[in-house]
Amino acid sequence: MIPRARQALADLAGRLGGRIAPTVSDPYAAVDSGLVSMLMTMLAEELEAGVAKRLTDGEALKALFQSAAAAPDAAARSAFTASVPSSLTLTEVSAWLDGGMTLLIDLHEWAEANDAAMNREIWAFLAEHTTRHAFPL
Amino acid sequence: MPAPHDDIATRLPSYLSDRWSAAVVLEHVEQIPGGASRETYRLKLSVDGESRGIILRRDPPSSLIDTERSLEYRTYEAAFRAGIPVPEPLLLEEDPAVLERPFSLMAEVTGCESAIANLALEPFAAVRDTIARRKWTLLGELTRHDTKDLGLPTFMTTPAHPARHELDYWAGVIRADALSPQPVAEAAIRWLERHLPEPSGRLCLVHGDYRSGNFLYNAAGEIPALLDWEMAHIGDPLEDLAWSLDPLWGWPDQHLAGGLLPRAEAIALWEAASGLTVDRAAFRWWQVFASLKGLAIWISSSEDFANGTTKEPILAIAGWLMTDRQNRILVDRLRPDSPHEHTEPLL
Repeated sequence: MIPRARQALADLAGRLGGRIAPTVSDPYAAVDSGLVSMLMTMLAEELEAGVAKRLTDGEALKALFQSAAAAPDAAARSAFTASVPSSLTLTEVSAWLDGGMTLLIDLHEWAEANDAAMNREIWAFLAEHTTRHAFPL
Repeated sequence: MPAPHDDIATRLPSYLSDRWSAAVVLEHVEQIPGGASRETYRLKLSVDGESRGIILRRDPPSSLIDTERSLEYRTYEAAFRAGIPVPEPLLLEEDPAVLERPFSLMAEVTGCESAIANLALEPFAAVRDTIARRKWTLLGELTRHDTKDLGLPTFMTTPAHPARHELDYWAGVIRADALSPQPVAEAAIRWLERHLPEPSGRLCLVHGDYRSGNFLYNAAGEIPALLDWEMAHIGDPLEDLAWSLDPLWGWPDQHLAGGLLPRAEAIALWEAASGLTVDRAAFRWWQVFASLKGLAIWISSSEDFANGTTKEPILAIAGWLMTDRQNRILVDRLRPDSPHEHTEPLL
């Protein structure tokens, strides 16, 4: 077992990209190795922070939904607000958040036509969400 | 494990000998990195004793862009006939029995670069501004070709409403391929539906992926060839212009279009070359559309990586990193109180 998974993955990515790829003579394979190294770096970040980012998204969604009581389908949003992921694996947390995001799409469409303040709140959430998931590359 | 191009080395020479009634010997083959929509190979052939550089493009098992290869090839033929700078198309073979998947051959354009990063290096740095200006001048000139004179309607759809046609297609791609809900894309689609422009009345050959990296340049400051026509279609002249100016192509520099020129200068060059004046309201729509189309391509590449038979890392990186960036661009474009961190205010 490697207890520091992010560090291990990032170190391996560095070794592949910095030590192995430059020695590969075939140009296509060299570029391929560099891309795999880059992908491993991104996966290292996701392994470490993916669950936390999604839980933060979920909490922000819950706050948003609680201020949208007047919009249609309130019961579905209330159910999401009362829910938690069935486990803390990345797969389960992602599936849980997907349910909230689907509700957000419907709420956003309604807000665009009926509630300018809610529309702004949703865009602010989307700005925070996309920034949270951005890779510093 | 056989190399990916073993079958090219063993099968292609005899096939070409039959097709060209000539003695064909394969002297060299190498796969060119970066071909995300087609596998691309550089070949050196001896044809009746004469050495020829050839580019072979073959359908991959999965692709970043799902397109009809015959449409792409016929576009190259039409462009080449009309004097538009493209590599000379030589052959299209759609029978998968030959090389397992359909492929095409083009003459290699030598003495050129395509990587935009090399424009910062000599000898290209000295002609960087010339190449940049040529890029948008060529794009403007492209709009002047009559689609009928090019013969495009014989193999391309002529849309009655180009904006409607493109939006329907790319919204469909997003909804078919998304692996998770896409609230930014859906908001963009609704915005585009609400602001759909009337057809401009002018149709042209749209390249579909006109950006830095999809043309060849040389040390003389010329652009001898425009590449990667797999998304070519008949459409609105503003579509390519908006795509070429998307902030993604200059990322993280938000001030230079494609990392090359200020946007206003690029637009002025395009207007001078096309003889058209940019309709600001319509262009606003095409700018948002360009970002949505980009997002659709990245979403589709994620799906290809997850569910397709090939595991090219570029599909995963594009589907992940580019999706993130394109989402940020769209949020920056569309949120009511945008600080415009990634985009200039819509024109």
